[in-house]
Amino acid sequence: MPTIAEAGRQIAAKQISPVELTETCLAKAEAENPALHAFIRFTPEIARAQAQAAEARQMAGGLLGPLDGIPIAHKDIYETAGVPTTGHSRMLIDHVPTSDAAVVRLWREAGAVMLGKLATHEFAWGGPSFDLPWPPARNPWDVSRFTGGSSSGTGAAVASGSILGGTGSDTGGSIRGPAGLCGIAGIEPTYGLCSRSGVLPLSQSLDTTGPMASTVEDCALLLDAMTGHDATDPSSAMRPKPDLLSGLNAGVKGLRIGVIRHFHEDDCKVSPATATGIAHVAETLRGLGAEIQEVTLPPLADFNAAGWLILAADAFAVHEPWMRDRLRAYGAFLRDRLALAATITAADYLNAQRRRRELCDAVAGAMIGCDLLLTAAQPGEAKPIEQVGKWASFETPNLTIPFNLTGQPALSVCAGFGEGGMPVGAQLIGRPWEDATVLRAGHAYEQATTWRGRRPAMG
Amino acid sequence: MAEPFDKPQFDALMARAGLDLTEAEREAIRAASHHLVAAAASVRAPREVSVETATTFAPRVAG
Repeated sequence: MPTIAEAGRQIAAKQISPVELTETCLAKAEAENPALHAFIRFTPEIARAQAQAAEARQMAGGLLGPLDGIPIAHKDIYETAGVPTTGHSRMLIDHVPTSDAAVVRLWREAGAVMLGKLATHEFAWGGPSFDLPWPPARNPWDVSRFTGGSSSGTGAAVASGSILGGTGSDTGGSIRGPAGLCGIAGIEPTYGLCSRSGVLPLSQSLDTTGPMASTVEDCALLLDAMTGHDATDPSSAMRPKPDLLSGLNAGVKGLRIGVIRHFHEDDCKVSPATATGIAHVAETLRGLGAEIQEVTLPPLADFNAAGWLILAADAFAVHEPWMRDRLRAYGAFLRDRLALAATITAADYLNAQRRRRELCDAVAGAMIGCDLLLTAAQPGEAKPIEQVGKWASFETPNLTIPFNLTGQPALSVCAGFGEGGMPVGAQLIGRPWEDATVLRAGHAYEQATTWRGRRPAMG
Repeated sequence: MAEPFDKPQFDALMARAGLDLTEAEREAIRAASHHLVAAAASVRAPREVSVETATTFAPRVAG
């Protein structure tokens, strides 16, 4: 399957047909879904109509841009007009929005072709669960394995090649986790860069919307089409739309990259393959002209403590009315996690928010001397899905939540493969609003490696 | 490792939240409560006023 960049060039050159590309992706997605469960709903009528419209523009020489005619799908927390949006939950099984989420609208207006709605952990926190109306997504590298979450369906569908890109959301790592475990790319953009309007919330102070795709270049193309101030989202920053594309090939010469060694070597000791992958990223970027140094941040446990308190309390605030009145409509994972969150006091929450500010200051101070940070995206390869327990997210330190707390852009890139043949992920982090620098470095790394050439049997 | 909430404390918190859980469900959740007890303890410290959240209240002027 081509990347978005490749397909976009081929569509522009009239070498491929958006209708044929859409039919190929739809057929692949529908054939694989009984094993992969990446989709909870297909929208073939919408896809065919959008593909035909794209093809008409192609023939008339009036393409809308690099996403015109590109098959994508949306995580099922993104509202889609006339198409059920359930949050993968029994709670909203009959919910049919009357309008699109802002990002859905932006991608539609850019010509992207929506193939359907993708599996997620229930309301982006409860999974992998087997007691929901749809089964959890499976990892295309090995369908007995976990995809990571909560953007599980997007990770699986992109890695298998049944869509070229899709939406995710990231509150504690829900884009970067599945990207890392499925061997693709995904970016959690700077908090406030992309609208969350029309996206089912988990934590108002941590939620970000963002893209997932096979490559960093594709993430840049998708993200470029989802930025911009949105007055309907109070967290949307009033800033000019950033230029994410013109410098993408500028390389990393002179960039200073700080490796947060204690995160992945001490605070959360990662697998040997992951450690090798991070070293490979550092050495590759050094070879391309970056300066590699080591940085020390506060302990990972401090970020996790503040992060989980805020995420859990925010989530309980969102779900409290339903928890009181419709408790049995939730799956057990989310129900019990939300019930645990009910124990958090107002003082705990405010203390966590204050600690968050200190942690933001500490990271900003550490980045005075460097442009990017580097650590792991995940501790290792994907586990067997049945081994992922209800409290797993509290039991293993989370390497991604620090940068939800700080609101910084963070990208997961494939950094190699482990002993089990599954991908491992590295994480590149930039200063707030320097998403373009993160993408530039990730793209430079990908261009210098051959990981993309290795695809799952389903891919 | 922090201790989980004791049973009377935990049951009171669930009742206060209005959650109609079974005894077995409450006990399973209580057993995991040490994670958040430890997290709360770790952020409990006096702090400078400079780290107060900025979004507490934003006064608005009509017109």
